Amino acid sequence: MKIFCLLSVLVLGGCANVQPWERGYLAKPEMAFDPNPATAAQMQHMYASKEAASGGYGVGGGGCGCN
Amino acid sequence: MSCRNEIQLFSDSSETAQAAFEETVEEVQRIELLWSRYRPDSIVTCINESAGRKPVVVDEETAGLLDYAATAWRESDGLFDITSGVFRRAWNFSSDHIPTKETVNACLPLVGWDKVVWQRPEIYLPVSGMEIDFGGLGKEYAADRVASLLVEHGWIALINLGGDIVASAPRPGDEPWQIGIRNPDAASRLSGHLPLYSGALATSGDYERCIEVNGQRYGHILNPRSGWPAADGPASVSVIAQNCLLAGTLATVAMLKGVEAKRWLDSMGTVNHLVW
Amino acid sequence: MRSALHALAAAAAALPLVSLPVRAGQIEEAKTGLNLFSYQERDGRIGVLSPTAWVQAPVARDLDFEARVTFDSVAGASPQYVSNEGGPVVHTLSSASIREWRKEGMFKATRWLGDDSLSLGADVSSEHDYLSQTLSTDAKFEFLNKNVTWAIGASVTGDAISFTGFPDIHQRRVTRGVFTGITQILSPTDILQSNLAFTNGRGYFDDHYEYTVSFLGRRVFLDRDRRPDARHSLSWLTRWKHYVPALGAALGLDYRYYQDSWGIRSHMSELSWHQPLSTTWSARPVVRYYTQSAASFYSTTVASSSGVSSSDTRLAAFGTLTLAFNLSARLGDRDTFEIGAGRYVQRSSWRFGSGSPDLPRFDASYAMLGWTRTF
Repeated sequence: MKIFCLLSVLVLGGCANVQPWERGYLAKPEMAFDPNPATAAQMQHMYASKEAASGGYGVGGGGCGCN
Repeated sequence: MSCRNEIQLFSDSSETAQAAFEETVEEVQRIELLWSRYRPDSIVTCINESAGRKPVVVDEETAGLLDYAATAWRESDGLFDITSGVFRRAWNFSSDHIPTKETVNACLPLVGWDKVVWQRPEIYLPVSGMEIDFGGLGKEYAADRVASLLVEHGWIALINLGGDIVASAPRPGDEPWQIGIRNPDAASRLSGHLPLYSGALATSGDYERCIEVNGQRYGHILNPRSGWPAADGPASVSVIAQNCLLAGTLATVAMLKGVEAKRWLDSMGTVNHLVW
Repeated sequence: MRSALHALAAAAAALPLVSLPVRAGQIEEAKTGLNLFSYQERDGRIGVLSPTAWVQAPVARDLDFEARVTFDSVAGASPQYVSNEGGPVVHTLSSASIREWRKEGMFKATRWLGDDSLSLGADVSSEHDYLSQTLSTDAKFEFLNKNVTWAIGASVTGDAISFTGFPDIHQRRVTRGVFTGITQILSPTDILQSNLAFTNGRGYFDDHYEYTVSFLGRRVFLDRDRRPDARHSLSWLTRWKHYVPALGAALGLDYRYYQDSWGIRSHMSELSWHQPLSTTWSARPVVRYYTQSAASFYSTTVASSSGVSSSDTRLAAFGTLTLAFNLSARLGDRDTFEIGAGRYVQRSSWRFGSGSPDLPRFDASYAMLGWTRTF
């Protein structure tokens, strides 16, 4: 069984650009605020039907008889 | 300035992984020492300081890269040119204004690989003030060298030197490495992924370092023959090839092909991605 | 043209470099997915089964499109009245079991103008006694080398409320909203978003299925739910994502402050940890705490025959805790499967400060199955 290792270091000089293709940390799927838009919408819908507060995640988002 | 580098690999133990990692760090540092134009003792500094004065005899590895640079210059009709760093004297990409035509033109006599006398193992820059740099080759070469070392040891690894990426082999189970694509539009736009099983990916782009005047974008990739960036060119070009050196060269040349960029890359059958 | 490639490859081959076979899949920019969400309240209350289908795709070089349709099937009993007949205040469920359906569809089109964008969206939710329609627009601008995104937006929602059994009675409500937000890349491992949203609603807010019954000595008072005809709110949400390179994991921290003209103040915080476990599996535990104060007119007894009053538990003071766990598996190039479950508990004693007395403990659980394909 091979184990997985991640090694990272700052070494090379002379490159300042953040590339669009960069396998950078920000581009990793784990760094998305909402990994799945449908799941996020369903969670917000559930909370809105049980709690007085809602909103702040963006514009739109429909109303519903449940709240 | 530095950039973030990362190696992911599959190993039998963390000690052997650490040993492999240290070896790659040494290799990257060795290449940087050899070719950095910022270091007073590098071969590149030596060549540049001897411009207009005397030829310099170079080592085997530097000769190999100069041969490659000569081929790239010839095959790109002069668009890929390691002497074009001279334009940095005219262009300041951290400012918000573009240089005058006169300032740029003043650099032209100091640019052009055709002026360089390269007779392996001797190189001579005939005009004082001329310079070469491996800015468009060194990082790519380093990524490829690291990949070579890891492949020799039989490692399965993904190397990322500041955006120059090499996948030595698919992940166990024939799984691809997922290369995240961040669009130039930072956090807001849909981002995608490229499944890379093996090969090298390099990107050339100008949206991070560019000057905008009256809606016209001036990127930092300059045409060596004019000293100006290509009009109507892509904002960034990414190419996948058998090694990073090749991918990086194709990406840089494509940037200077302007509207022809996509057609040029497709005609060679490369896997590519352009952002306009 | 190929000869240039061959000449370059040959020149590179002279160097001490490996030449790797090029093998890559297609760049994936579009996503589509199906979700099945199941929600069940304890003690035979509401249960919801909710399938969703969605797509996000660039349809042209400068145009992105997003759409989602959801179908909710709701079954169970809902709270109908609050009574103090036996002494203490009791929340009583409707004896009739309901079965209702809700359909929701949304779409959003985003036009890119260079680095900036303009979006238009619409959302419609329909039930047999409730129709909600929203139009929204937002614009996003990039600053400082695209490290900062500024968003502004506005929306308008029209709700049409009807009464089961009274087909001639219709009520309306209009809610306008404005939104602004900043998303900033702080470092190669940190991204921060802060959004401010205001809403201004006018019209009918009552829950016409809810009653409060009060026994005072031998007299009985019955009052239906009556609320103010306006509601203004402010939501301030801040989200932070931090990548931990040593663990290959991402930490998420959200905080939201909310207040409205009904006297409700609330705080929400959510902590998540997204941990890849292998090349295939990744886990995401989430903890969420939420607390709110009661609306100024919240009351479990009939206070007077005039004015506003509601015994709706959602307007009470309480705290809630959510514990959730998601597991996802990436199989092959383009498919991701997700399974998740969570428990949601509401208690008046968990209110930061003190909660409303007589509020029953509320307990629900949910589960979700998801499939996402990128192409």
